[in-house]
Amino acid sequence: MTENYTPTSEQAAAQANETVMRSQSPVSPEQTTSTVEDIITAYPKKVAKKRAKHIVVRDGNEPTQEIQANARTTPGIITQRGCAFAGCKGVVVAPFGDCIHIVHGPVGCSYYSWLTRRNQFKPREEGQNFIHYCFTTDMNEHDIVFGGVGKLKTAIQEAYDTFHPKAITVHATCPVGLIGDDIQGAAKEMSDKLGISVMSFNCEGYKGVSQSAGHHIANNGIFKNWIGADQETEEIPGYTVNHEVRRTSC
Amino acid sequence: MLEATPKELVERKALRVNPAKTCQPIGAMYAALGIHGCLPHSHGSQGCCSYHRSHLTRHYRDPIMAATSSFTEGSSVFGGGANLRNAFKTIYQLYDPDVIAINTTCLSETIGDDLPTIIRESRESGIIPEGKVVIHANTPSYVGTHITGWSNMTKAIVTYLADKTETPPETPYINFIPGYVEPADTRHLKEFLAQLGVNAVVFPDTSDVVDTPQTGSFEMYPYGGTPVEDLHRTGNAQTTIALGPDASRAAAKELETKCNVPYQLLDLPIGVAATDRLVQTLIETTGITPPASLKRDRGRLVDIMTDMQQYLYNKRVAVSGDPDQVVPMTEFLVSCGAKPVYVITGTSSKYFKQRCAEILQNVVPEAVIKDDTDLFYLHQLIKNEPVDLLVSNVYGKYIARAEDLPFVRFGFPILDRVGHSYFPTLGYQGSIHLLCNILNTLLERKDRDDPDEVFELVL
Amino acid sequence: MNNPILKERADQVHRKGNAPFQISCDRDSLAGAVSQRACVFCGSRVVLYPIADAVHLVHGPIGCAAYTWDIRGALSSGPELHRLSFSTDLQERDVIFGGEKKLTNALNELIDRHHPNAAFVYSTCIVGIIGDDLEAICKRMSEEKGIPVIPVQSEGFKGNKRAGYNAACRAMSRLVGTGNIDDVSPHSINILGDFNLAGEIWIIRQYFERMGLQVVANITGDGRVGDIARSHGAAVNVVQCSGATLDLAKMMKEDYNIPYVRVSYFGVEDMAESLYKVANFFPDDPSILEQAKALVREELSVLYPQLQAYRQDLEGKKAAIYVGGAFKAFSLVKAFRLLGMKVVMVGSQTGTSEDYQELHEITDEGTIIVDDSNPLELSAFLQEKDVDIFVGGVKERPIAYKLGLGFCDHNHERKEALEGFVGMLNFAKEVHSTVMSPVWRFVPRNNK
Repeated sequence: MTENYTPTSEQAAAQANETVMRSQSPVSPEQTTSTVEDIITAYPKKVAKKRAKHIVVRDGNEPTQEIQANARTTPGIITQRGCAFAGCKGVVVAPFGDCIHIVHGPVGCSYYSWLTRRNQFKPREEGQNFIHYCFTTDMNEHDIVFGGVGKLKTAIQEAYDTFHPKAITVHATCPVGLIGDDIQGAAKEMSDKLGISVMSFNCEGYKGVSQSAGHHIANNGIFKNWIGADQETEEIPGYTVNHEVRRTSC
Repeated sequence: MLEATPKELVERKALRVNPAKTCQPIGAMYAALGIHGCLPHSHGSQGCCSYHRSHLTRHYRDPIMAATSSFTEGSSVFGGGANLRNAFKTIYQLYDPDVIAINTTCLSETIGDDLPTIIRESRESGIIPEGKVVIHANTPSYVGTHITGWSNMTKAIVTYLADKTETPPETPYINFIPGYVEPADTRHLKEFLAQLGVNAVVFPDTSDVVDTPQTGSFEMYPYGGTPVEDLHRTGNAQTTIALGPDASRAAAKELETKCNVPYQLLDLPIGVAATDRLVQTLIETTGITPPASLKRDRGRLVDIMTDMQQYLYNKRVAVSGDPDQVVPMTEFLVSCGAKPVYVITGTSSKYFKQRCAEILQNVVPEAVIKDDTDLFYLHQLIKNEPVDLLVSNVYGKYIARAEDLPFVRFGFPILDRVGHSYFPTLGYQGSIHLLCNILNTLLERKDRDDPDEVFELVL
Repeated sequence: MNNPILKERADQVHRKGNAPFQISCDRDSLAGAVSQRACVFCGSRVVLYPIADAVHLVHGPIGCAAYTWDIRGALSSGPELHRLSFSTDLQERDVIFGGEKKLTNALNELIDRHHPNAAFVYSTCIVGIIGDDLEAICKRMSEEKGIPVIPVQSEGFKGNKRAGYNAACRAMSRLVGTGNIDDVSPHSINILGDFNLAGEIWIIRQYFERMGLQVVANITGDGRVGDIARSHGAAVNVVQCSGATLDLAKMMKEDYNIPYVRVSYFGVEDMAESLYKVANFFPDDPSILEQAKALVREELSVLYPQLQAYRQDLEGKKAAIYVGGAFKAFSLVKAFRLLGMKVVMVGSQTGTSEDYQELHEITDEGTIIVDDSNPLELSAFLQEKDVDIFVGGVKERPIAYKLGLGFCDHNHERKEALEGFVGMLNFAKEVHSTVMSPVWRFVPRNNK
């Protein structure tokens, strides 16, 4: 450290950009390209054509390179992606530890999204803590055949009676959409009845191409139903931010 | 921890809290992994497959391979046939398994996809290549539990693959269905059969599939699993011995119906009495004479039971798990002098209720025996009258922490410890592991709780 | 295996009923017979061990210290120095050139580091042979450090465990009489021969205090150097157990004219009897006896109904007893009788002919009485009598379990307080837990 020179922030940013642009992978571009080609040719022809657009070998001479994304996964591929339910309940909504999240569906979806994402939660003073709990309507064959709305409403009532939460969320799983359970209606009805926020998410697993669809469903719901709901909050002085961390894996 | 759980018990009609079970497909996927060269396939949304693979991976800490039909809104409307045909093409081109074992999900079941027809047509049109095996099991998530799923897939193995030939085999053998158990258990049971000199086709066999060695390479299809040729042979066996009635009954029965192979259903051999019954059954069905080494194994187990009986005497124990595991565990605890006061399972099971009642009616008449229930209920029971020990899968650890209980992890899944897939809990030797685990847990707690002046070198 | 009793030992076994009572005892064990007895060092070590504010230094090779490191549950209400095991760890070199210098260094270091109220230096076999002058070193260290540093002449080969008790008593007698006794009441006692296993001395001490007596010294359970130093101020020595501290009581009788009374705190009858015996020493204050009677009544009214439940299951079961001191065996015979059980074998490591005479008197026809027995004999007797429970110590436990019968530890590894009235209930509970345990269903004995 012999220099006393301190770059301005603009200079530093420019320098960093330059460094990144000039950086070279230790593997030659030719080698990388041939590896990718090997991978792509292993697929059936049609699949290969699609898959090829999802992998790009960076070329410093090309100013803009495009990568295909947000498209459906080809059936049969051992994808690492999850589903809309996983993105909505599992990723975005579950970390709210002070309200109750009821999964409307067969038992599995609630079970696999129970404590597996290692979200830490500490209740505020006098606050409630449901982070270690798993709630589900545990739908059985009868519910699938004759509809599960009644069971859902009873479950919301039971959750309210036992735990007295400030809010309840309801999450749909695949069969719920198919059998046509009106969970939005049920949530509205129970919200009016109990006088607390009961919000439902139509995050059936088959929606969209991955868990990403679930993130959108969750965020839309939270924006519509929760944000701004408290009309009495006074303006908070000073520079303030809300912090959302994007989570992408399932 | 779990502060919101009230002490007062109220009957719940609709809300399941902290379930003691999960859904069918994961069990089916686990059973399918017990076939050599098999790629399990989940016919439904890709989230199901992702969840099942993740959970099995967490439990075994090994890569778990399975493909999915990746349903979207379109397939939900038009059916999943196209997805499955598409999947076959991709899978054979890319992963080339000997066997594909398809399980359905709540989605494909609700749509009503006709799997046998799709498979037949795919075979006829050549999408499924010559010589490749495809089997399927219907595993709607809204019926039964993961045990049902295992049971259905194991039955499907028989339905699709068991053959009865005209000429009987030169050397007689039996079928042996180990139940929904750890790879270490199946490995140990195979050694146990060898020790007794019994020829057997053991299936499904997940040893060397989900507990593979570090080799420096990734194997899609590991060394283990029951070979398809052996599965064909099951139809010519003398008899079937099926462990764990809830998991294994369906396959054993199917062998009888399809190939006329008689069967015997036994409790999982956890503890001395249950293992004695297995040995007795093997003596009666195959005419073997148990070797001296087996008697010594048994003697060692009984020796630990006698050496340490004072530490289990009258201990109040809560047990949660799958019926096939909980029943013999309860029997074992009783034979060691403990009192299983709360015995619960998430699966609905006549076998569970009947056997637990038989085991407990005279020794612990006050015991609460409940199937089709959840861990929330168990926690409430414990809050009302505490226990000295909790035995459960990993989810019990929150109750153990909330109530400051000594805790033994037992059954599926265990996501926070290591060794459960390496040390058996079946047979005389496995029961020794299990008993030592229970005893050491209690002694560890004693050491933790004893005041300084009582803290002792010798226990 | 035909006859498990060695010819040379025939006169140390007696079967009550078939001949006039005669038993040979208090003699050296037959070499090679796998005696259950230990050595002189062990005897001294176990007696002095519970003195919690002293350094216990074993002068010898490491083994003797290692095997006696925190192995007895002798609880302390204060310091826990006794739970450490110190050794001079003698090496070949020391054996050849002498270990005196090493011992001096060890004492120097230990006393400076732990500031104990006394130090006991145990002599082991090898020390007796190489002839280190413990007496002189201890005297010099004592002067230098200003605390009692006391040699214990416990060379292993000098006799059996009983000789070790004697050596321990001689060591303690050096402390006795060195303390101030101004505040000692005329209504006072010392408790001798209780080691506070599982906190038992706290139960007994509390009984005596409820009677209005001052307890000067616990010898040695939860013991303190200072208490022993002023124990000569007590009016009576209350001595439990056959041998361990009886010699000290005898010495104190001789030197300070303090009478002693032998008692047992085990079992309902003996416990009550002991309290009355002690009370009778104080005829000047009749309230003491009154308090004793009230105490016994109160305790029994709680105990008896609870015992009944156990008795129901245990009635008619058979017990065998093999313990260190015969005095304990007397109480056990009576305690089993209270539970409705039959004692079919009884023996001890260190009994005297008077002890065996008394056992002969209190046991039933056909009972085997044995002195200084060994595993082969014991297992033969246990099988012959088809007993349900065996009472003994750590070396007896696995014998019982291997044969497939219940066991109760009545020695120093026991975890439950068995003395006093509450101890009788604990004893019943322990006997019940092991006799009624379901594990015996799986042993060959019950699967013929």
